[in-house]
Amino acid sequence: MGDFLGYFIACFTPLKILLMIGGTIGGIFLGAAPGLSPTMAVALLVPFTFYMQPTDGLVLLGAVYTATVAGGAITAILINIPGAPANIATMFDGHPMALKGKAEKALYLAFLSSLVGGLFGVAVLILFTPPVARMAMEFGPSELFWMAIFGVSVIAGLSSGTVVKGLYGGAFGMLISCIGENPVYGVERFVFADMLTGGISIIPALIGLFAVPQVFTLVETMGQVIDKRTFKAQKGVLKEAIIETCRHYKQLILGSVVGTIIGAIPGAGGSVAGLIAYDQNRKISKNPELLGTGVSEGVIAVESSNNSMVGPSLIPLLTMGIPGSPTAAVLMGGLLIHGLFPGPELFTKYADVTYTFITSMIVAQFAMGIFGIIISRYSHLVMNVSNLAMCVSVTVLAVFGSYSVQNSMDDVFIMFCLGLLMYLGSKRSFSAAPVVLGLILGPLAEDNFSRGKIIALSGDGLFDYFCLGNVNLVIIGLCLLSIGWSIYGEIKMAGKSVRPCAEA
Amino acid sequence: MRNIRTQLIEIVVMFFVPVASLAMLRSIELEDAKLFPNYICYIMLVFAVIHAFQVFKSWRKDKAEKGEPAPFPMRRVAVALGLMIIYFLSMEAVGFYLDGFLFFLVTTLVLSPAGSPRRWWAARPSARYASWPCSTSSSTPCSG
Repeated sequence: MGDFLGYFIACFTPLKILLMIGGTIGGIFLGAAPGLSPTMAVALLVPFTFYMQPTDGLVLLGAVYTATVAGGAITAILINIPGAPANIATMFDGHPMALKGKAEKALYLAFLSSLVGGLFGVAVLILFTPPVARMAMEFGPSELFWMAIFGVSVIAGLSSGTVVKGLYGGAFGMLISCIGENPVYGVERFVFADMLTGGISIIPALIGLFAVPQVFTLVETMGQVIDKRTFKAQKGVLKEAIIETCRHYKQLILGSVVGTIIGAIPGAGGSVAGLIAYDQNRKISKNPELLGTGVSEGVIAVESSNNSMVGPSLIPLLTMGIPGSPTAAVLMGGLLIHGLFPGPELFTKYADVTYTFITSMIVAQFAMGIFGIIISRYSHLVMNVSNLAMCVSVTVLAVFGSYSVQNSMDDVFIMFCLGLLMYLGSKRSFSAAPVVLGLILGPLAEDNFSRGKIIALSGDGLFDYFCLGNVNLVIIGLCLLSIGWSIYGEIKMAGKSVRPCAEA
Repeated sequence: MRNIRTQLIEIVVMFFVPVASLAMLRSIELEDAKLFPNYICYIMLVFAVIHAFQVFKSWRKDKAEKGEPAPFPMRRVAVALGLMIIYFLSMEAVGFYLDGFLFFLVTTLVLSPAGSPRRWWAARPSARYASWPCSTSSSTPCSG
């Protein structure tokens, strides 16, 4: 407890407070800008943290991550376009509220419930991370190998248009992680151009895979007319929203618990959390027939859930190096550029950095709540930023970010080529998240595979070492379950889409 | 018909990537160094086969594609791509900051809808910049 207080107090240095405020305001703006995802926002920011102290950089990234998820509610409510995938379910009741002239109240409700949910999620992160890290300390090469495969398979199955394409994308990510010199044997692989000798750096790849496709998507949608709702801030609405939030404590608790559970499952993500919370709220609501017509409880349940998943999504990342969501994968890039490798070592060797980062998330939640409410009043300014201005700014930032990591134009070209490839892939339902996960977890899988092979050949044999043993069997089972579940979901969806056609 | 063609191209690319990678790995003599990427390539081939099977199955189900695909703003995307390539290629010669500024101006001028006030807003500083010869001789970090 004493240590925890020490780390908490360490968050209140002038620089960290400034970074948190800046990150929160910037994050809300980026989240509120339609077309820019939280993942892309964090990916663009990672290179800026390169020259900072690791703690400062992580504090900034944590604040941005929290704020972008909450900021996405602004566009979901005012223009019926989710700022982030996590805000899809916010539209169901948020936008009808705006149509009824209650946009200001809906925004306040969104930020207040995000604050409560976010705090709940961070509390779970603080409580559960150390025991999970202790458990991860027992893992050997075979378990770590399977954990890496699980990380890729679970995101591949859940985040893509089709399961097979998701899994193919994950494998492709792992394949491109092999480019360059093998660290164990010193052999060059897939080096068909000089710029690839050092392999593909994670930061340019992250920026390219997440930012470039979005730039082109912005170019595509340029000139589209959107029906924007604006409002003038009125007195007493905030007080009303606070009372309403407290009155719907059941929805707050439900949303927070659902978001926390979903967040801790690698790959599930905020959109799933929001949709499940909305669905569960329908079951406990006194007036379920009113949901979807613009009622407060719909916004409260969804917003508390999508922000409560932020903290738990970091548990598998910090303890085992398995990012729980695409944004967590980008945050992992932020750790790696500072030489911090996720895993149990973060809680022993770099405990000060890790715990200060985790405790700073509490302060970031309050910053998000306060600045979110203030910025809500001027949200029409945020939404008036044109697609053209955004796509030019993102391109320049992407180039700057890729170049600044190693001061190399090669990284800029790698970023652009991967981004262009991903844009073409996205047109055929390929998703960036599995490729990024494969790229990040590929070296972890290969390293542990090589080490495991040496151990296996001197003892049990390859099959026994990798495929037997309780932990191995559990993780293999989880891999199969996640893939099987995704295939089942896809078949079910296909059945649903075929039936109406047949009936017609 | 157009959809079938793109699906065929997609399948060919999905097969080409692992096959080409396996061919590149053949030149490596040390078995252990190519073991992991070899497995990855085989797994990719398996996924490509499953995908091809799914696609062929879907063709048999409904042969006729109904409805027109949504119009794609090919010209605008191609222009943006061209501007980006020019931006990247000219960066080392022009310098990072100046190149970024010029990219911003040119993109705004070219991609803004005709008659948009943003065009005039972008054109004003570019005209001033062009009429200020001293600024073009300024050195930038990248150009050294």
